[in-house]
Amino acid sequence: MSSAAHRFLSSHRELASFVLKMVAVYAVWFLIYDLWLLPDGRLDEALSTFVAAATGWVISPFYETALVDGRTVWASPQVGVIIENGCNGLSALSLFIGFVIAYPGSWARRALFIPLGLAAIVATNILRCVALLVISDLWPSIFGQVHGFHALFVFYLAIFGLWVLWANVGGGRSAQPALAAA
Amino acid sequence: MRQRFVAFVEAHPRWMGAALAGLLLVSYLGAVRPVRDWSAAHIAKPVFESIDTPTSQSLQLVTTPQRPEAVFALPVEITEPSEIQDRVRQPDVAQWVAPAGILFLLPAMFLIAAFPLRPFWLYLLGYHVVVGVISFGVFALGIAYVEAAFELYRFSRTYLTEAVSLGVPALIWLRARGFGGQDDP
Repeated sequence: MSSAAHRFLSSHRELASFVLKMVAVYAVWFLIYDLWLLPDGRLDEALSTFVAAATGWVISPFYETALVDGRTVWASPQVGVIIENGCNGLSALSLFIGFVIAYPGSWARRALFIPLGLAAIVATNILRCVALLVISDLWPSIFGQVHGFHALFVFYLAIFGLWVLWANVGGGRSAQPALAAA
Repeated sequence: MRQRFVAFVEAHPRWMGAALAGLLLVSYLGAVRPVRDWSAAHIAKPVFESIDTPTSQSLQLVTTPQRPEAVFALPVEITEPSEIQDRVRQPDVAQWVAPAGILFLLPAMFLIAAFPLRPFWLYLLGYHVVVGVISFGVFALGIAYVEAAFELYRFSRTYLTEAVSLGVPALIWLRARGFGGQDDP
């Protein structure tokens, strides 16, 4: 880990700045999402449809009857899951980005790390949907519980891991002058 | 006695971390969760009901057995029990939820498992209480004056709470493990 990141974590002022930046990023995202993106619906629709299509592609070798219809993935005519707005992982993506923007690091590395992180979170969500589909097929009675708990756990584990990774690989030169001045 | 306990934990950090995390889970289910339910019904709801403004008179506050940790703010026109039950299930309805829910429990279990001898999970609880107090004030503003405050409350319940739940453990973890030998945050 870079000395910039070390100084960052040792400095309350930098911590406060980090928290404020993070909250500011989330506030901006919250406003943009609530005022434009949610009513518009296209971003959620595109992401949900993509996750559904990818989930269908992953299960197709194991379920001959697999079928994707928009946001719905069917393992069989009786077993399917719908990728609703809350399940498409969009809030997890914004949570990941907020930390990476707020935590010290070089913008060049950010430009590389953010798309890779987003891809990792989307892939995590696809695997989560595959797992939920298999559970709804094999153990439908526990689907509700697993859906609520497991969703949190899987997303947060992935985001936590990516944040820690960013703290280790993102410490670039651009963060150091600001931290030295603090 | 304490020294022997510390020595035992230091000798078996992983097992003791897992055991203490399990103990925290049991304590949460046995103590924290009932306190959250109780605080919603006996602290939050009476305080919210004591707000007397033109805006608050257009709202009624209800609790449900299905979500005892929450207080729902519904229009007073909704009176039928079945209609109330139906409305509280809608995602857009304003609801205050007691702090330190599962978004506290999971990271707290992680912290106690990773650092069994350090009270970092208590720091996390403290942060959740602070966010909970802010959220409480914002929700009260929504009841008293302006509906937009409910949106602010929703922000604090989602992004702010998630940022604390993930950010605090991440920063503690980084500081404890990421500095090449500095193990003491």
